[in-house]
Amino acid sequence: MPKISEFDLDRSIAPAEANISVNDIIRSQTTEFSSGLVLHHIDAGSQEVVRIEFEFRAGSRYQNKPLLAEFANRLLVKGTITKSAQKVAELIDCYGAFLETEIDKDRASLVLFSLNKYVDKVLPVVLDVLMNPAFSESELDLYKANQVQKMLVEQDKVSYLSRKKFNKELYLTDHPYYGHFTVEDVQHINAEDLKAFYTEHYRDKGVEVYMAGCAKPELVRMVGEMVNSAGMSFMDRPQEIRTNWIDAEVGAQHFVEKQNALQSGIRIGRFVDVYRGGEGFVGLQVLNTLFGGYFGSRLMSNIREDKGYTYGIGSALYTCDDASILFMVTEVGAEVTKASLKEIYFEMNRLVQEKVSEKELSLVKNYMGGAFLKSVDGPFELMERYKMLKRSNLGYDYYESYIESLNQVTAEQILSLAQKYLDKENFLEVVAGKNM
Amino acid sequence: MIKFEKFTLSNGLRVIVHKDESTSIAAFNLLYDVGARDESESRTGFAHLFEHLMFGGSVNIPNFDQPLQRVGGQSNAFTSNDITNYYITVPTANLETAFWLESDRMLDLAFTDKSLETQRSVVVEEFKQRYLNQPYGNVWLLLRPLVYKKHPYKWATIGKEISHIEQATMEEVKSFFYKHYSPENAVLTVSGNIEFDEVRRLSEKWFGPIQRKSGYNRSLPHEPKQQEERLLEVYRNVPASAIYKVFRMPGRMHKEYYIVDLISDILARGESSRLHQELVKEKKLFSEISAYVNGSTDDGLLVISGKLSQGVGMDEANESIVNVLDELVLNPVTEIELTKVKNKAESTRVFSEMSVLNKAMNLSIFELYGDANLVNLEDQNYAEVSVQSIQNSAKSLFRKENTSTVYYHAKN
Repeated sequence: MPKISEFDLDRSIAPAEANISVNDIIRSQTTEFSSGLVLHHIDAGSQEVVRIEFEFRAGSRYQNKPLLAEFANRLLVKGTITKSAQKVAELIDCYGAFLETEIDKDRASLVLFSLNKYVDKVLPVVLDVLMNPAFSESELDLYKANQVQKMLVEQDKVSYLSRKKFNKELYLTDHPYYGHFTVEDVQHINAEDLKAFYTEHYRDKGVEVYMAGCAKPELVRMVGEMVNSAGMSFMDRPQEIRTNWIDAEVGAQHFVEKQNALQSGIRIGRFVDVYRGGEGFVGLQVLNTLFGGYFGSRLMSNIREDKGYTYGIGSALYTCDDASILFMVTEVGAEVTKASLKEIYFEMNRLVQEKVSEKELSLVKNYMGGAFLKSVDGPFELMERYKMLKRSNLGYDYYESYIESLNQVTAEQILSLAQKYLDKENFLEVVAGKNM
Repeated sequence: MIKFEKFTLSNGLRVIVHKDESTSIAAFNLLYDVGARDESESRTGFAHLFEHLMFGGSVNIPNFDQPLQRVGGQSNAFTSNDITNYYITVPTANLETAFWLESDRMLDLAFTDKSLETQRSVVVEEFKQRYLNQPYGNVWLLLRPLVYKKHPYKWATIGKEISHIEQATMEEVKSFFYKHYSPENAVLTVSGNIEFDEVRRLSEKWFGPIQRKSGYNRSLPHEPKQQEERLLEVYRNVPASAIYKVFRMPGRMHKEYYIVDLISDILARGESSRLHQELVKEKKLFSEISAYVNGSTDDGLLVISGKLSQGVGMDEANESIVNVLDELVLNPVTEIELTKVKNKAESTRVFSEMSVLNKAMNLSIFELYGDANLVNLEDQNYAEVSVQSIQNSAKSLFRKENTSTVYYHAKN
């Protein structure tokens, strides 16, 4: 082969592209212990670190007071019966470990990140936190005061105002995901509430344990045995069945005034009756990506890259156990708020009216294939995917055939999904900003 | 420990290769040695505006993003006061697309008036979204000129004022490109499950033919030693008053950087840290408080910031921070406390090296500092910090005449 010189390098031609394929997805293994503990573990990656997650069915849907689930989750780590919050923090910090709490509508977690060499030192502290949390008055009072102030700061942001109003209007008040709260609600939470919530939803309902990273058999055994003897109750219930609570009224428009705002926060969305693994789900993921799910999306190309109305605009398909929501979000210059809304609906309508070209569709699918490859790269990512499968009652074949499922999506399907879901009348629209 | 090999092309482009067999994604990180500090004072925000324009198509390729997305890749970039960094992740089999795209936009630009016009608007909206339409968002626009009087760190990456961005012309854009976007002014790192020889071949093929552009010799004004304590008070419509205290410190490659970084961790990293424990939990003077070093190349800053609890006065809040700092000056920290922050520094590094992209960015940055292998000496540099050195640094750092403070009062 002749040596390539500057003159025969044609830079206008792209290098040959290889099809994106996923080789073997490293699967989560399960190891059972005598107490009923089932430890899910993935051994992958290059670093001697591990992430251990204790997951509970303790999300906001289970609370009987606004904010209670979140407060219980955050205050879990603020001290045990025998150790102050300071002591707990010190014992974790001194080994360079990180202890984090996570919560969503369905689940709540306590997550430990640690170097492998210190797991035996920090795990007992975490187990003490899980088994004997103090929920002291003083920690609660401090947390309340600081939360109130954080909320006041948040309320100064148009992005927050539009999100909060959107969530308030999207769900009926008796929907388990109706989580609206006010600053005053903070004062109504007391330590007894926290203890009762903990007892019912953490201690007695059981935990699931996920470990990812450099998780060799010796470490799996050690961690399993430590957790095994901690006296926890373990999850013995099957995944709850979807209840399909999609009955809220949408199609309304709301405005939240924020004086002197330089930009307006916009959030527009609706429920969609699809769920992971179900009919039309991958197609809707493709439609969402095309619409606003990546840098080259219709929304970005028009509203940012052509009009320059915003720094960023995007859409997402959000799924939880009992609802799937398609929504888009942006912050735009106050003076171009109306013009931006017009363009957003213009792009929705264009998808409803015109079939996407094969060229654009294949680009989106390839982009999504690459993004999928990235989402199964690394131990923590792999564990997130496994948890997603588990909560959707799916097996690994879902991911192993994912690229194939993507490739099977056609322009006709995209058009019919757009006609079904992108009708302006069924979207809830919230704008927060100054009155123009 | 990040293993790597490196070479330099005849046009001066430095290339680093790191092999990681555990991943199916390749990271391609191209760092240009240009940041907001290289701007002229009448045209600030330019390095960052230019970063936006780099996505507007190049001489042979009308659209940067689409061909990359077509092969499953993603791309983004960031600009700081020191550097402009472009990065791509792509399925390993399609790595060559990254070489093709990045080399073409190093070769020559093809920006249109339309793309300049649009990106000016986008950056203006970014300015609003991140700095002007957020509570406390403008604080860096206040702090920088308070601390720096001569050095170009006195303006923020986004720019001093919106008008500088609005007035940028195509001529200025072009001259910026020829001045800074030259192969010898860049460091490329490729990491993933790839072979050194293959990266070498692709680098020669795509970047090899690019000529050097006109050279740029950085010569920035030195910031004179601060001689007096500085205080700026502002009144804004925010829900709670806040305080910002900044202290000048050595740049990223100075040995003392590691000492000051650990000082910031002792002060405010994690719930067991001093400021958090004493001022948030015990005295309840602040609802939140943080401390960090900004890691700039030239003399940088240790920043302490906190939001005051309701009813707490500004002077009281300030004094309480000063007292915690004085404690570090007066008494040595314990070995246990020092070990704690060293362990945290170590684990942060180990976790950060889970990502091929992070590794690629770090290798590029350290190569720019002088040698990519410096990234592997970080642990040792932290390990060498002693109780005595902490106290010595605290003494010089927390002098009144090294302090600049902003009282950010909530109106009403």
